[in-house]
Amino acid sequence: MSALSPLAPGRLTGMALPMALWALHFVVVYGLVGLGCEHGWQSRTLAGGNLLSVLLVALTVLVLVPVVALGLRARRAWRRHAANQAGDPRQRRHALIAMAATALAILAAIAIVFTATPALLLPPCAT
Amino acid sequence: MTEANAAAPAPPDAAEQQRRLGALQRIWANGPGLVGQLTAVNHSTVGLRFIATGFAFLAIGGMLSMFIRLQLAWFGNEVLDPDRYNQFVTMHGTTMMFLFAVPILEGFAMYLLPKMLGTRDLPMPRLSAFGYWCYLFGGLFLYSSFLFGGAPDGGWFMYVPLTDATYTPGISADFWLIGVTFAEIAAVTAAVELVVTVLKTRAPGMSIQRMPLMAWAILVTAFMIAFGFPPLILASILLEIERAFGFAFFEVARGGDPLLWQHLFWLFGHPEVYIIFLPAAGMVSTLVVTFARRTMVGYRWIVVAIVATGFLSFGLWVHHMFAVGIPLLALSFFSAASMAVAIPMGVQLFAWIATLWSGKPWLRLPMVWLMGFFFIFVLGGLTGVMLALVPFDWQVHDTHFVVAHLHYVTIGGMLFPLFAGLYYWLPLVTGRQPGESLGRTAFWLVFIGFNLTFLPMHLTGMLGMPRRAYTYDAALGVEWLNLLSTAAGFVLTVGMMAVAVDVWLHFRHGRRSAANPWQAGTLEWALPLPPPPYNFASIPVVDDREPLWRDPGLAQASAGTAGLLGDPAGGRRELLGTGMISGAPEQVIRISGSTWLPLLAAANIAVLLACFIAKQYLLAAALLVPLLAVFLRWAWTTGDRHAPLRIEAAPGVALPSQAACSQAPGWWGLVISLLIDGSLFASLVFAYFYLWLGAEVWPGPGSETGALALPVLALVLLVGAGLAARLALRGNDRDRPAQLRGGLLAAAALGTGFLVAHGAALAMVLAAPQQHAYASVVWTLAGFHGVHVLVALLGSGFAWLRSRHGLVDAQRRLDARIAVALWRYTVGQGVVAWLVIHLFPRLA
Repeated sequence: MSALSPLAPGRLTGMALPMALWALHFVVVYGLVGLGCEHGWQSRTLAGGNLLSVLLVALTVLVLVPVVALGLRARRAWRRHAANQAGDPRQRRHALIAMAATALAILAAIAIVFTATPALLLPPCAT
Repeated sequence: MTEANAAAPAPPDAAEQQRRLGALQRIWANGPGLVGQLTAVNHSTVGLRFIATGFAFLAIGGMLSMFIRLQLAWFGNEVLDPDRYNQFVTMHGTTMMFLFAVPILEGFAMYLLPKMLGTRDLPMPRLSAFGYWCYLFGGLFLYSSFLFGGAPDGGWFMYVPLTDATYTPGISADFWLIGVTFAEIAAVTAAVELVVTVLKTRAPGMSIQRMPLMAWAILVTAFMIAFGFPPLILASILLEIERAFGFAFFEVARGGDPLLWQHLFWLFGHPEVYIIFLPAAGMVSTLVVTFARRTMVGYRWIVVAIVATGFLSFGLWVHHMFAVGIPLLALSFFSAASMAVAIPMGVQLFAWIATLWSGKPWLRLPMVWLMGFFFIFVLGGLTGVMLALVPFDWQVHDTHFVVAHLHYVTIGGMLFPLFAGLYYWLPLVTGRQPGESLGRTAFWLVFIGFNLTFLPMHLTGMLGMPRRAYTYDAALGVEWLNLLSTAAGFVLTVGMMAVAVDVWLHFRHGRRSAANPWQAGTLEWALPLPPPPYNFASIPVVDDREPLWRDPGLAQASAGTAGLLGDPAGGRRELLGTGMISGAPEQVIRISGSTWLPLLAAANIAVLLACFIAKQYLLAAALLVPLLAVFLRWAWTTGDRHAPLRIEAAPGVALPSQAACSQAPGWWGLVISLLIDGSLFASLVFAYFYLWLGAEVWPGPGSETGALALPVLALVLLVGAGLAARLALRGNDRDRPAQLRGGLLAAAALGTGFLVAHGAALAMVLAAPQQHAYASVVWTLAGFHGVHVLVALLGSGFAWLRSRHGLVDAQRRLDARIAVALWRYTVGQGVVAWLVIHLFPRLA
């Protein structure tokens, strides 16, 4: 991905991307609980657990992959920009955003895990 | 930067300097007299109007709360009868949220941002003036309900079925739905305006890492408005058409679901708390730096925290619905997010404390208010984490504990920083220095009054005193605590009145202030006090986050006319447009001056809505004609349609004018507007699937899926319109105006064909919208998209006309780009709507 792509870690949209993935995950797992409970997925089994909980965990792992990848990429970009920033205002600008992208990716990963942990602990459709 | 530095010609002589300053004054001043006031669009005027109107509504909402406290002072009181109590509680909450908190913060942002960012005005001044009139008329509209058979009384959250036509006959709920939505136009237009301001009009050199934290906070807030307000706007529209035309969205008997309202309302309602908190936090970040007299500790961490808060606040909405019977696992997602949001809030708080700790704090009046903020807001945050726990929430749900919590958060988190900001920026408006003595007395009255009013409510709530009820049971034994709350409420009120008196005395008799009285570092303090209507005679060039600390000569340089845009040779209001991240100069933006159009448009809408509420639907529809005429005139005369391709910002620095610049504010305004519209559309699609999830039959009774042939034809016509528009733009870029105009006409014809074909396809298979939620939501979805096709048709007609007048060509592409972008968006939305309407029921 080139540095000019809107999703590059030095761009504002790239910076917001990990949190956008958190939001996507949040909406999908919430919607899935409503959908699954309506259709009785909690009483079907898959891979040793109930279908709904297994789906929720699988989705969580699935979304963590790009979040972690974005975090690592942002960290690399941050280091690169930070190393070159002396005397180059362009690098300094992108270093700020890449640093923020790194921190936001970490926070997004924590929030995703935090959100999904109850899926391992609670029966999915109890009210 | 190099370009900007190159712009250092020999300074003009004294006579030339005077001529330029005189010209700037003439170009930027509002007109004289009442007409000048009614036609004003300048950001200082509009911002101050938002602030003054906001404080007026604060006073009204505060008076309502005094009646509420009197009623609750003792059990069995009869100050207000139950109906009146419900009206006052509803209007108090509605006023404080929609007519005070959000608009006043927008007002502060509109007044301050251009000055803090080193520019002369907002890039779309008519839009903010229009927003103000909508806000004022919407507020008056809402309050006029007292004159027409009763104010709304369904609570500020307006839950259905209580507020549907069966349980709230009459027009009180309509006043709420229409009045609040009208006033919300201001929030949405402000969001568009503020995003473009922050991203495109910062002073040269103010790259992203030098942006004031206030600007970061406003930027994120504006995006939150863009995503947070549409769900409520949609919910209000759905409920209003259910009430007015008998559609079925929320009525269970016809396949609707009352919880849909709660989801949409709180999908707005919780981010709303952060929408009012983040700008206040931006004020705190600004003041802390000034009064600690050092740069912010952890600037970057605060940026991260602001962005994270903006996102996480959207994962909290169901914590208002913990008691409605949603699966526990789903509740725990929201519980987790509600606790997680404490992390970025804590980061900001610790950064502020660290800054004060390592600085040399200067305990002036604004700082005193900030101390109050720290104390109260932390307590409110802690009870917030308590309420995020599902079992605890069940215990205190709908009790006064929640009332205590929400007032600690909103008054602590928003009102205290607001008063701090008010005192801090007063010298900028008046050129006078606020006195300390009465202000400090007022602070202590408010602080003590506030805590004694709301601290006891934690206890009365835990003892079981319900909220939203006009009285309580003597057996609870909470009457003495309530009497204390009421008495302290009056202390709080006296404190607020003392603030008002103090500010009034300040305006009349305040001591003249020297420039930059707080020795602050941000650009607004480079201005002479009070500032001229054009703010900066020369656009300043900055190289630091606190430019005034770094470059003490900056104030004098920007008050002279030797720098960027110092020579108003074009005789127009001009701003400098800069790069989103780099802050490098990239265009000269010519903006509109004083005009009647914003007032005319808002007044037209007010009359239209009045006709609607009076059930004069034909008249209301007829009023769309003058409204469209006003908007057409508006679009035609925006900025300077005859601007040259390049304009000299300084000798030797020629920059493109906005019509010729790919980064034009009009373009970004369109992008943000479409984002908001996309959020509105997504809310409607959410409503569709939510209703589907709870429905027993889908399609509902009387409707069927029917044959696919006609819907497919409609889709082909729509996609064809999009392709024709693309070809039109390609023609324009190759300097073939005939191809542009032909393509636009073809797109319009194909779009019209789509409307006819799709309308016919739906009419054949769908029941009347009054029959079932399925028909209601599908007709609404199709109608919503149909309106977009009409807008795209108008956009094409407009660009066609501009091309006929020779105002669009391969260099000046803006109008053509906007028309084509409207088609691209409309086709994209149409494809999604088509899949939902025609494909999904066949699969489900």
